[in-house]
Amino acid sequence: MVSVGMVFRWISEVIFRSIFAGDDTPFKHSTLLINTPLVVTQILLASEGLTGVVVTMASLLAVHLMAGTSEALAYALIMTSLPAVWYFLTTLPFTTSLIASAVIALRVIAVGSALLTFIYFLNPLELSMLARKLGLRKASLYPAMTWKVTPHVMRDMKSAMLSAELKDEKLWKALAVTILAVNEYSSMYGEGTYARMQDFKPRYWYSGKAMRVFVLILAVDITALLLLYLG
Amino acid sequence: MRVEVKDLNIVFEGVCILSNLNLTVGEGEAVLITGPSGSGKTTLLRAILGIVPNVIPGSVRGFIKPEPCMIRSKAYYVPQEPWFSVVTPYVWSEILSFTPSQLRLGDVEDMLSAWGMSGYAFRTTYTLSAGELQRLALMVARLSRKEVVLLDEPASHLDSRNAKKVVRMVNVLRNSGTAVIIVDHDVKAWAGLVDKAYVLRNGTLDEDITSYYKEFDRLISELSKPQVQGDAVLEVRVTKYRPPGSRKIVLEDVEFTVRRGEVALVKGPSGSGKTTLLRLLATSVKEPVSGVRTNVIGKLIYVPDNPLLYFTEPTAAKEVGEGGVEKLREFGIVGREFTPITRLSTGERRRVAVASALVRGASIIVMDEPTVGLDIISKVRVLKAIVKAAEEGMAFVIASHDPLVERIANKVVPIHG
Repeated sequence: MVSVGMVFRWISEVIFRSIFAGDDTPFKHSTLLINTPLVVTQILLASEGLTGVVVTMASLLAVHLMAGTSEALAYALIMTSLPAVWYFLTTLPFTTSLIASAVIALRVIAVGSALLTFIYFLNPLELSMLARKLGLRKASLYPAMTWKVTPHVMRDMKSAMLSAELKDEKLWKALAVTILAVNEYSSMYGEGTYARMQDFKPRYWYSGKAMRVFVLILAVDITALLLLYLG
Repeated sequence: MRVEVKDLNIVFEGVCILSNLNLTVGEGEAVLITGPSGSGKTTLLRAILGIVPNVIPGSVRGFIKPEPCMIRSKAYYVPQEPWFSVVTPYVWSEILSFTPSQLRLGDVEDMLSAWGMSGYAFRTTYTLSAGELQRLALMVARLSRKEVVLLDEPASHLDSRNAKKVVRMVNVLRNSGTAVIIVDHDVKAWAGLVDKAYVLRNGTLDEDITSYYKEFDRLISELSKPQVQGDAVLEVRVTKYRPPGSRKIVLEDVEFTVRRGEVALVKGPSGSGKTTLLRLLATSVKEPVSGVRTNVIGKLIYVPDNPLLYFTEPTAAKEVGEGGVEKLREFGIVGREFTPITRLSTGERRRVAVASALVRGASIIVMDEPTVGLDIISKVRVLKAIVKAAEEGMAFVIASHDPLVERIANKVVPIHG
């Protein structure tokens, strides 16, 4: 039988695998200066209808295949298919067309996957480095820490749920303790960084290969967008 | 830097933790502080750095010289829970972001190799085991070139080979003029290296460490393996397991059976996949896991390595229920039964978690490092309770580095990673 705990663990697993799973790769060493216009272009493309959706999905697939992270894309598709189904069902009474609602759902999947891919390839150390360059010395640790703490908390929440389920305890009890745990985690991380926060000097490097690939895909997407606008 | 603590008094919510405590640690000196779980060892380290009262509220009176804010800027602190000692997402970023800037990415791999973590530079830190996190934190501590290093149970999650490396590392630090304060239960591991050793009890430091330890050998000798074994209650077969997003197979061809009344010890170097195995085992009871087949007879309870994740009640008394209060007393949890779980020390939490697991009528209990952070007396209490429960028909699967756990284990399941 499917339990609430199982559903919760499954959802958190999908979120986890679509954003945080996988080690650092050269493809996570591109730059925001390329990746931000890329995600904006992909969102604009996806909102241009089915052709735009196809181009967006193809460019996402190309990036993930080259980076060897197709598993993350698969989980991004699973994750975005949940709101897509919702959009499909709720727009159907207004569009009265299966195809029109399906296109809306596909646009949701494309936009969602583009955003998740952007986050997946975002390197928090670049954000930390930029924050430091902007003079935000103390805040520069937060992007790096977020990418450590979030998956840590998610993994521990799963363990807490599992442990509670095996004890035959109500899920909300595990959730309540998890909230307490998260509160404690902030204090523990505060303790862990207390003596060395001022020593934090984010280091980052850029991967030429990753930047070339992202620039190429950006060029293709911009061209496709212009053609769609002109057409 | 010389650190001096004079007449230090710390009170948490009306409870006196440290009372007129005095301590001096000179340059190039290593000092060991041991003592019962919950005696205030970690609190002392926190006070020296100013974590108490700046991060954790508490009333502090007395003198710490230089001022904690000054010590903080010249100190490196490795906290007891390894999960919180690493704060950036990748192994390379943790090393390069907190060490002198002349270090290059190419140097990282050499350093990792020296600590048995070859090929780890690009790993995400949340996927590291407690032992691997501990090694990473110590590596950064070593490279940070600080004048004072404070280590809270630095080898608690490490196998004996890596624990010896920690001792060697402290020796290098001491020889380079660093003042090192170590909090640990394992006095023997540090014998011959530290310049001074103290027992912290009743809020003050006592130099008479021998009297504190003289009973321990006798206590340890009382540990024995459970004698009665029944039918098989757990069958495990892991063909292949690869964590999400990773190309590396972590577990392969692991197969074992546990019978009623048996204690199975899952043993292997830190990072070999012991925690992963226990987690998979627990998960497979509730949902299918690819590459893992288990057959469980009866109820299985899982106590994770972080005991906080086990709890579903706010206090120890509620967690164990009416029938379990006696078990808490047996484990030395006296007068703390109604203290919120979040205010218990790690060692106390661990004991409460084990006590709770024992009173829930499970046929199998899966425990990850149940003795970490416990003093010898508490360890022996917990292990004796496990043996007693096993002799009453319970089965145990325990992942641990602790040689004392091996004393009570009927079988060892080796994990090589």
